[in-house]
Amino acid sequence: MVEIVVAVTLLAFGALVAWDSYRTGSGWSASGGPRAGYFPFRLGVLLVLSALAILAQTFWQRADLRGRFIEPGQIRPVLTVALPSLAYVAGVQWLGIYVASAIFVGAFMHFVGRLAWWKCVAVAIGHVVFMYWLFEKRFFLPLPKGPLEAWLGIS
Amino acid sequence: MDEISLLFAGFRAALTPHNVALMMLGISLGVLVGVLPGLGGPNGVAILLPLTFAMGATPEGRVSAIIMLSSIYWGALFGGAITSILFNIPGEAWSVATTFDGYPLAQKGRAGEALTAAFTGSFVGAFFGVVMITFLAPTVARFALKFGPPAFFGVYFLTFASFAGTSKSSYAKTAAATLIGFILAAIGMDTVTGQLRLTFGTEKLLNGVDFLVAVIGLFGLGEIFLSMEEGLAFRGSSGRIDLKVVLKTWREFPRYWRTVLQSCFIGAWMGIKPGGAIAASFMSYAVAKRTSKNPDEFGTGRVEGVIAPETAAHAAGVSAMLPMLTLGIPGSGTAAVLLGGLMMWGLQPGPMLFVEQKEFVWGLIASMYLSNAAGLIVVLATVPLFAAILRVPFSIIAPLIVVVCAVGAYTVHNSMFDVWIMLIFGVIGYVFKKLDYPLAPLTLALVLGDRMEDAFRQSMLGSQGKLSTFWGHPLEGTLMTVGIALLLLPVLTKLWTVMRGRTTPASI
Repeated sequence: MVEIVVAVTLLAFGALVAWDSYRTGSGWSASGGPRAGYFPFRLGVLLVLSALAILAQTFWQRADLRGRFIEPGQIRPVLTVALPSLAYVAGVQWLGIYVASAIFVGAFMHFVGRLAWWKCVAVAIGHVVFMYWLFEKRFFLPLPKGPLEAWLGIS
Repeated sequence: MDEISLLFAGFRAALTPHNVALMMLGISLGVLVGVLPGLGGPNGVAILLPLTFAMGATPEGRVSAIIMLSSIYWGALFGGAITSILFNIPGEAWSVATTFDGYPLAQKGRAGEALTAAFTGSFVGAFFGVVMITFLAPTVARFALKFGPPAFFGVYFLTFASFAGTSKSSYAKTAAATLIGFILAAIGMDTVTGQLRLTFGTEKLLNGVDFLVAVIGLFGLGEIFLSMEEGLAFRGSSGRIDLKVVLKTWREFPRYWRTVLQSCFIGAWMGIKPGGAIAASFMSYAVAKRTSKNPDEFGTGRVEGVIAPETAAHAAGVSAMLPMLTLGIPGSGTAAVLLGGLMMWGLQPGPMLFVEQKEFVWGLIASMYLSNAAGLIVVLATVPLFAAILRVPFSIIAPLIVVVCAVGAYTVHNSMFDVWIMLIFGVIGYVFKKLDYPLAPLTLALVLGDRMEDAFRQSMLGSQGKLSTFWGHPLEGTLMTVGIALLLLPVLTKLWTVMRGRTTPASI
């Protein structure tokens, strides 16, 4: 199932690339030389062909029916890291990277790892302070900040 | 000899206290990255690359920066062996073969011996690779100076064609992965005409997809998702090494000279081609087994079974720098990221480096001698420390690695948009790994895409659009013909077997 979905997605992506490049101009310009879409157009067409080959192969071998993409028992552990990661990135957008990281690491350790609360707090605060020192103070690379930093007056 | 005096100048540049400190830092970080699941050579270097932006402004700074980043690479090569031997978990793909005999040795209580043998083999392999680079690279670069755009296109073409012939994934999937890499590289402003392409009206895609962001997502986040599936619980042997074991192993080491030598040659040969280290480690293990007097004992804990893959992987990892420095074509994923660093500091990778950036090139080569020797000492001394890190619960390590990936992606361009892109690539990396789409050609295409397109368009301009320019000289003609042969060979052999009716048509 997943195999087919991915192949169809690639097919659509290839078609989209080819169409957009065709629009940009995929031929030879009057002033001499290939246009901007010359190379991408051909790549898009080739990707469509590869996706078709993958589809043909999948149906031919019936590989998709035999192998399972993921064992039922594995879905949960993968999601326990994938979904919090998604929430974390969204959190970085709103709260800045320091607050979001502290919450993410602390909560993950507490709810997934079931570790003692003081360990969670120590790692959560500790790694954020280290990060602040390394990036802002040592290498002068500003990381995204949110309302808390604004309130504390750290820019 | 000219090379020798340049090399000594390189040693003088590399041996400042500042650079030696960076070297040690790089090696330690590299071992850490090699030991932790989800972090490896390519994304370890990618995450730390932004820290070197400021250093890249001066020539001395660039030498320091490349020394630190390449030391991470050597450290990661060493680090992979630690997890393989002690925990039966390959920290890197090139250490998979090391688990075959390394873990049985550790179970028998001979972990110290296995680790010492692996590290020593690695060091010898790396040394062999650096010596080869020292004497071969200037010659190759001198030869490559005469290359025009068609010849460069031919070299690129051959590089990618070799994936089709050797990749274990299906032919169509290798092609799809490569094409996706090229397409992603094409997004954004066209360098020749200044036209926007494939941006679909969003300003965010103006600069295209940065390959560093892609690498961090594909290899970092994707790998974490995969590790979670296995439900990682590290249970391993203790990694204590005392001096007596080291000296005993070193005394016995010369006995395996044949294994070491053949692994060096296999590694150096495979390393020049892309994706070499992984293939080299497996091949070297297989050859060591075949040429052994008692092949049946392999897999039960033979020291040669550890030496062979590690020596070859290190020789290959180091040799991967040869095509990167001389032709601008990285021989491994990590070398590809280093190449990206060079471009970021404003250096043009390729044969001109040997003419215009002598100090940089020879500082790097000299540092490769030094940092591999330093690496051997560092890993021997710190194995227990790194083994202890693996006993830290995964529920602490996993979120921290996600945070490191996010920070790494953000710092590339100080853009939040890149963090989202990284997340998407994490999912793509996970799905592609599960469905056996190869990630190596995708990454390489993403790095080389623009350069390959430039070479193609310049050749086309030169020849007024005639494809025959690629067969205009014997050199280009050979490169292109061999490339096409490599592309067609798997298809033709398949067709042949189908027509003979020997097998039902399986994967093409």
